Amino acid sequence: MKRYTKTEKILLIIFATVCLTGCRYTFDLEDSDLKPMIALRSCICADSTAVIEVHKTVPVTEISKADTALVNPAYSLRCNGKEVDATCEMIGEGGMRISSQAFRSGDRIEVTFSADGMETVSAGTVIPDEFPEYTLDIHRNSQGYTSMKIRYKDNPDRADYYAVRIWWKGRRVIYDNNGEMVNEFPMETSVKTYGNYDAIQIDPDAYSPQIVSAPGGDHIYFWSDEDEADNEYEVKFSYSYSYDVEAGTPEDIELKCWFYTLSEELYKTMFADYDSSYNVFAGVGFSSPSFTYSNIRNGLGYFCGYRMSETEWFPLEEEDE
Amino acid sequence: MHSTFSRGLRLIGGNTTKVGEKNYDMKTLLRTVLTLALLIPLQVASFAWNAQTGFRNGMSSGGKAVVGNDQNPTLKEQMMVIHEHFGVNFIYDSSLGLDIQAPQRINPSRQTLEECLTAVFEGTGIEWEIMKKYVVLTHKDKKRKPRDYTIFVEEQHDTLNESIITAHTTKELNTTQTGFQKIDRIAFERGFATFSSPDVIKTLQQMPGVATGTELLSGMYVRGGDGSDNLYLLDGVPMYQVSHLAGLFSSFNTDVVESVDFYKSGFPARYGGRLSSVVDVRTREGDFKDYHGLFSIGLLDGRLQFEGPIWKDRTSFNIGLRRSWIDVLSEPVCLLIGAGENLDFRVKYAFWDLNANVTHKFSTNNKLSLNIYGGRDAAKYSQSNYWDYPDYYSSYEMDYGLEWGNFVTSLDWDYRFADNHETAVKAYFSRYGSLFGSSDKGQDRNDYRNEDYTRFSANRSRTSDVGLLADFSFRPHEKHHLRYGAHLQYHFYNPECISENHETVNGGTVDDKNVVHSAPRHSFEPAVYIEDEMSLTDWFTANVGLRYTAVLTDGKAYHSVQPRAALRFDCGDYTALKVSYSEMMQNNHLISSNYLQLPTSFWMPSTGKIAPSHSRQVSGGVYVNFPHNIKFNAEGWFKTMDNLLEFRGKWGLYPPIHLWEKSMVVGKGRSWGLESELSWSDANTSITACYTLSWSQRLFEDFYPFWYRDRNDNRHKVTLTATRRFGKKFEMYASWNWHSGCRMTGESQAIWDGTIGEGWPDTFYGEPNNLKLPDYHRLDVGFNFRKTTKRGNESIWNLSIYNAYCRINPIVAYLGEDYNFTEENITGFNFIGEAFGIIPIIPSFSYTLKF
Repeated sequence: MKRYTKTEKILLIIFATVCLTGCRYTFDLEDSDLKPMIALRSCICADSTAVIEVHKTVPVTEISKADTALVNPAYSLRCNGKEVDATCEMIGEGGMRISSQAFRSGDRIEVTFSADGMETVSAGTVIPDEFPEYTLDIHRNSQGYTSMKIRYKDNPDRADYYAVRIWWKGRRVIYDNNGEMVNEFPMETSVKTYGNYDAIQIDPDAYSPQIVSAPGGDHIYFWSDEDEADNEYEVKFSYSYSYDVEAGTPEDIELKCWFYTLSEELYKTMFADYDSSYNVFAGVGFSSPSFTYSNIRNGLGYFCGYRMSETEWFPLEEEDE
Repeated sequence: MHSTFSRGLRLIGGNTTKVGEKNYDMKTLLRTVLTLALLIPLQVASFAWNAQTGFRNGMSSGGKAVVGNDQNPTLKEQMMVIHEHFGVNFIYDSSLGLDIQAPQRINPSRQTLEECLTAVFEGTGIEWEIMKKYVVLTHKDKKRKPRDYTIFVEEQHDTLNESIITAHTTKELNTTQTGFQKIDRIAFERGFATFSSPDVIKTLQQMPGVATGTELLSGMYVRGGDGSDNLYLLDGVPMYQVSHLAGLFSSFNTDVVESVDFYKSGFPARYGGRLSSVVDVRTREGDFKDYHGLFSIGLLDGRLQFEGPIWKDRTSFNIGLRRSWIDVLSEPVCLLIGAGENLDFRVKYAFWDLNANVTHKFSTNNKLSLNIYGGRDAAKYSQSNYWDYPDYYSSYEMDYGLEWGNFVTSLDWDYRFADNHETAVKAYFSRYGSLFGSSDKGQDRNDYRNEDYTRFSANRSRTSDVGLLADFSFRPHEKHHLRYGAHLQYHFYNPECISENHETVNGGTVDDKNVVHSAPRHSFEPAVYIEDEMSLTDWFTANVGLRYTAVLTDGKAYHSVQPRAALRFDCGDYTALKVSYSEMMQNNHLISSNYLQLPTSFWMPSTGKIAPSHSRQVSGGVYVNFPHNIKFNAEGWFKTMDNLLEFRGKWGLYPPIHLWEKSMVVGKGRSWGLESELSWSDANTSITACYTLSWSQRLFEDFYPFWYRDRNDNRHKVTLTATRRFGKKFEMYASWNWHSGCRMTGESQAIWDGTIGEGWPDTFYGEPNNLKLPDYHRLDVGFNFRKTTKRGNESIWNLSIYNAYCRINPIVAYLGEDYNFTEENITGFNFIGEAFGIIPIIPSFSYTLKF
């Protein structure tokens, strides 16, 4: 049995006192007047087939008696005010997937969807321009710290939203206490803020970028141009060692970057996701609802666009002392 | 006009009516006697001015009526003679012109009362009616009686010569402003008080149109406001933070509070700087005649108040002191727990505040006052330990502390240029600060190490104001009361000042000192205003004004012209209709990463990126006095707010100070609703019922691109209050509060086919504040037992019960899951709301001795 220190005992007593004098009870969520809604999810990549997923949601108060079928669905997809042909297929229990042509930068895409017994939902977004011309400045010092600066010319007349995703590949080499190599293995993974092998160290004085996890576990670093200084974006990262796997030091590293321009709606959606992950006061009602963004009128979800470009793999060499 | 002249009216008149005289010994130092006095120049539209003119009109000069030498005396002077001779008191509407000459002199020693009255008022257009000991004066052509008013006798020093009375136009019918309520200090003494300590903010929280937010905290969300938009004035000086002990107590010590003016709409032009409400707290001057005070000890705090003359009739002082004494208990308990061990730890929390006032009267027209308020909350945890072995010795001491509080001081000069023109000039300094510090020191002695070390770090946050305020009151005509003035404020913001010191000696010396100031700012906020209280006809009064405010900050200038107008239409003697429009501007923004009202929040000004907030409000209502002392009023409003701020970003108790601008998003708010109040009272009983129906919404497009409900969107609020006096010694109070639950944001929608075991539902938040918490309700009761001690002092035992039927209202809430387990499967899966509350029934008591 664990022996507690006096301090721990005191804290336990205080905690127990609060818990004993307090009271936890359940309450009826029916008062919140929750109704089924249409959830619309789409993140349209420029020059790729656009896909929109539509579902009928279930209020959490009625989840065990779910009725998710969309009855008599009707939709309209417009590009720059003109109707666009689209195909539709059923997915899951009552959901739909709408697919259409590829859209280009500058296209204004609008969607409307309706079904019997549901409020008609609508949303719109603009496919952003491509990432501005940039230069990469990457330095790695002898301590293994690498800084990467992205320089580009931002358009000051409008709000722009950017993101970057970084991967590295190379060998991991594990040495014993005498400095002799005992193992090596290749790796190829996303540069993350946390994880078994890598850690991004974001400058604490820099608010941007925010980090959000993308599907598949990649970390995407995103920012808006209002936070930039001299159109220069900087991310510093280093490699940390995991105590769990004793991964060793990385060698012969190559990097690859994906650059994104985001629609305003996607930027806000990602920011909400970020807030949802890092907001310690969320979920108990003590924070602003900064994690709730949705641009679907009368509905839920997100309808947004982005453009992506990627680099080739390029070597990361150590900086001269 | 913030003139302190308007606080009291000194009347000279020998024959005051004494109620309950047999219960009081003439030898007692203090007597509380209910008196209706002789002359109450009550001006319906503008009581304050009226009190001032009454002050001047020969009623404070030795109790003798001043009679003109060459001409007949005025009506008022003749009334004084009648009062002195016959002992009757006059009640009248001050729109009666009583400064005109009487048609003839009277000779009371040879005439009856009726003959005197006939002689005085014949041909003046004024009718009189004798009602027992009172003479009611009315316009001859209008069969209307003076308006309803209340008279309170504060203290009576010498019942033979002089008494001080204060009259209040407390009834909504008599004020031009909508959304205005005046609370006098008597109201704070009626029975119930949270933890037996009367509280200003807790009293205001019960008003219609005021949402309270989280239980027990001093949240005050007025008509859709966000809680940081209330202008708290202590003797006219803005205060940034008004709570002790996480809001259990407010910073205003009711022992020294004279009155509280609370505006929710129809703001007069003399107020500005916040969007949603004005809480104008006025403290009392000390007694210029005698020394007296009170001592009180309650469940959590003790209070001492003392006042009296420094120079009789010239200079007085009034001091109020409060201190909590929780630490007196907590420290010995900690010592007991640590007894017998090497461990020494202490947990302490205490707050104190001090109000002090010194007033000197140079003459009846010239007065100087110094007001000081200091308040502090301090929480501290300290621990020390040591290990002493033959070859090893180690010890350490560490302290963690959090302090916050206000310091406010002002120098007020009140001067009357003429009967119709006076000024009040105020120079002030106000500071709110918090300090979080930690320190530890120790010794290590062993084979490898021999060192002493000390480490210290502190983070101090301060917001300071230096201001100069000049108010003028001018009455060029009996139908106009002009108020104008200027207000200069210089704000200093120093949200973070980090000091660190690490020192190690013996084993080598490292001395590292570092002081960092982050994001210091300042702004200058000049303002001018003018307003006119107009009594244009018998049935129409108006308060129309304009306030101009500039904000010079961050190299940028913002300008704001704020029109204010409040109109009142009288429909007969017992009904009034009012309507108002007001715009307000707020330069200061509360930067907080959460809704917990922690002292880690700080204030910052508008900047080049963040503009001042604005509000616009239309309000209107009907106010009716029914027979049998039944009063009813209903008031509706619509309010919009722009440039509101909400926090987003790196979450923690401390907002990111150097990145605070980027952490805030800008949005809008709007609210509308209806408040109503129905009350009945007689001499011993008072019953009031308040109901509010309201909507409050927000639009922060970064959070959600459409309007959504505010977290304090409490659709219904009901407050029932009853007080009852049983004789002279016992009174009781009961109050039941109920309002619709607050709102929070939770995952309210899911994409799921309902198949158990097929993965977890994909959940969505939906719109912000989509979930409604359980309704809030509680019953408070209080009892006062009054007694006169053998020495003639009054003692009061107060017993208060907060939350009498132990309703556990939620402090936090969250979504949980509800399963039904079987051997094969999970069935009946559902989400449920779970709430957690910690405030049970809380009985408390206090003992107060007035001396």
